[in-house]
Amino acid sequence: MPPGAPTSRRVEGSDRVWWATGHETPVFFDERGFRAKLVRLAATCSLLLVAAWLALVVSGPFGFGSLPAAQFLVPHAHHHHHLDADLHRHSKHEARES
Amino acid sequence: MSRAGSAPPRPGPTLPRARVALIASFFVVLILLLLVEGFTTKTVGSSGTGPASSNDSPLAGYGPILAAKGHRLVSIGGPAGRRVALTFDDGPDPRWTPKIVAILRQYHVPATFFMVGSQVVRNTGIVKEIARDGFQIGNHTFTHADLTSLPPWERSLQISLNESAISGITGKRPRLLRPPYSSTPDAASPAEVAAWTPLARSGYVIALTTRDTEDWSQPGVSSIVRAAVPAGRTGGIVLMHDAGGRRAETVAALPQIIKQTRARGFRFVRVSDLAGLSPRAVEIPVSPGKHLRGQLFVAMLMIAGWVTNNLTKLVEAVTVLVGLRMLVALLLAHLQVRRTRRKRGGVPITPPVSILVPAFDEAKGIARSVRSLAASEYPGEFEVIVVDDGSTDGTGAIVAGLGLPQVRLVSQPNAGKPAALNRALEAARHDILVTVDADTVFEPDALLRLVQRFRDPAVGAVSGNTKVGNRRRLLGRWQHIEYVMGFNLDRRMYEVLGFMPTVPGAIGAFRRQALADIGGVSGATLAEDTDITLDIGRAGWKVVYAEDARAWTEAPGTVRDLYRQRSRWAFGTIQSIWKHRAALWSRGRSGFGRRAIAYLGVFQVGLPLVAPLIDLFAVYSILFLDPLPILVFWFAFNAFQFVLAWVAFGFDREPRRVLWALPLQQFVYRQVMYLVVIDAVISALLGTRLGWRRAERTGDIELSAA
Repeated sequence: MPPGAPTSRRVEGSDRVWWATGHETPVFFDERGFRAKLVRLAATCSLLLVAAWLALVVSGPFGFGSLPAAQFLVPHAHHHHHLDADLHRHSKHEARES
Repeated sequence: MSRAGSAPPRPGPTLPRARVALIASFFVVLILLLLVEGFTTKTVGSSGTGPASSNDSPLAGYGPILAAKGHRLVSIGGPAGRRVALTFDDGPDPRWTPKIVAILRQYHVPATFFMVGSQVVRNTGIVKEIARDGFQIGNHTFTHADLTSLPPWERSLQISLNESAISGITGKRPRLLRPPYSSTPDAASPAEVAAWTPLARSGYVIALTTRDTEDWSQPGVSSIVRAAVPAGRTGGIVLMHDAGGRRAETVAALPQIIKQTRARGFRFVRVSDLAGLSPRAVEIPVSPGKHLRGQLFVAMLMIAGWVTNNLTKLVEAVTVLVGLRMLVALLLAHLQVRRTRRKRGGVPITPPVSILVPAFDEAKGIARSVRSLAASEYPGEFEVIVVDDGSTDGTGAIVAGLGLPQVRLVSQPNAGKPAALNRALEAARHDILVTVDADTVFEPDALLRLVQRFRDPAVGAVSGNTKVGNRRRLLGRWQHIEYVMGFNLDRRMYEVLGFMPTVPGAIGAFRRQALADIGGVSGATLAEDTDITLDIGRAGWKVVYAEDARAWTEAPGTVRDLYRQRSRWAFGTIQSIWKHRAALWSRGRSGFGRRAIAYLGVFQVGLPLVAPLIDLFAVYSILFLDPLPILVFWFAFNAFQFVLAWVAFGFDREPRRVLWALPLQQFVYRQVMYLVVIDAVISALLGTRLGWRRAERTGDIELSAA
């Protein structure tokens, strides 16, 4: 009916005019609870991932390992050994060139 | 009111711990990403090198390549002879590095790039290309930090972060290290030597320079060429820059440097060759585990960069949107005021009216509310129908005891507000129907003024002007300010634009036929007022605003009650948007639905959802960017909002002294409003059935406040 047309009173006992009851199923309501389970699962996984990431950031594996409490990434003895060996080789090479 | 149904509803909106944890974890991640991005990009030092020489250099007479022997630095590599190693610092840069690499490739010249980590993670493709082409990569710290100014742990952090980034991309760990702002050994200060020695003891090879071109200062192409090309018979390390500013001079100088250096009988080598080290000794292949760790680190930095970039765009878009909305609201509200003044006058219409009051446990305020309705100064016939929806506190008895001739009481078992309204509709005898919340007090002329808007036969619904009656405390004042601004700017704007999205439950009027067109009041949403308004507008009826029809309501007196009320509103609004989503792609008779749904979606759901991100970004900007623009913007925003409030209070003839509380709204109230929308979206995702739990009433309404 277009706006502005003459209005009329509802006829008693007629179901055609007021069909809403106020008891309609709410929008978004998931009676089986499947969506809630899915969202909870996703949320739990996200929380676990976040916790793991935070733990990794704090403990160092992603590059923050040199924070005061953590270890410097380069083991001293190992590199000295290689460096000394490299230097030794280089000295011999230089001696040959000169 | 409670809601009847097949499954027990959640007993009202509250914020469960799981949701708090979820929301909090989201923000923790975001804060960390912003901190990472801020640290990695906004603390970067500028390009530059130290003085050419120092009188007290502990390294005077040393070669440019240093390693640790015991507790001191020693030169390694011996004399350079007729060998020259070109080095480029501060990159990679997306504009200049590829040009430099192309020239080096063209002339088959090896070179070493000392990269800055923050640039590495932003230009991973260039780093891969450089590594693939056989150029050497060295460490130049993560943010081009002056190592002498840092504590030992931060020096290590600067090196190891860059190492993780480079090894994540190339699979090799750089052992060559060039400290930022370093130059020749003769220029090294005791403080620099003290800072470098522990790093060398950790296995790094410190690569300084022999010939500093100072190209970062853009001295001119010929000057760079002159500084780079060896004058005598000894080569060494040439220092240039491929990033950190405009590098057109470096790019122009490079071919000349290559040609002239070769013409003088020199050959180009890598820094490792001058150091006498094998390439594998300065770029050590990392284990798959460390490579993966580096890749994850780079990925994290890339995500942080992506988040920050998009947040910047979001902030810009929201700023424009909010600014425009404020401006449009101000202009259109003025227009509506002028139009309304012109329309006033004439003989009032006084059609018979039915006033519908659904009530559940409203013992504290129902008598005052019904008396105010019965006392309406309305020349025409009117009736008041109170539906007692199964109250347990004697609400029905109070109404019956009032003994008012215009008032009819209908009782029913508790079924919820929409069902109670439908019951009232069935009982109503007249064609103009006014709906009133049971805690609302009408001004004597409100009914007459509300009805006048039905003079236009196309009008299907009229929104009245709701006033906050309890405004003695801060929470009440904030809500009062919000209501005055909402009813005197937003609603006027809606009327001009033709999409009033909500006729409030506290004071609204409907043409019976309009309600008949939509079949009555649906219980599908918790915001039945928004739902029926959207329905009526989409059916082609006009929905208008009667700003002079005023009713006083009791706003929630505690944050908890406010949270519950607003959660219900937010959830109901989201339900209504979803229910009427088809209006977005089907224009309908007037385009009402499309405009209303789009507006509600953007401004009542979208913006509150992203607003906390913007607050976070503001803090980030203050910490890592220039704080002045953000502070200026914040003050400008508040000043503009104050102007809007000033105007709105003027329209409503409200005393403006309460406006001192407006700036404080930004700190608690606004955040609560965001939280309810976030909570409501989570409820929608979960498919929760939210129940209606009314706020505690005190009956504290002061009409004299105005």
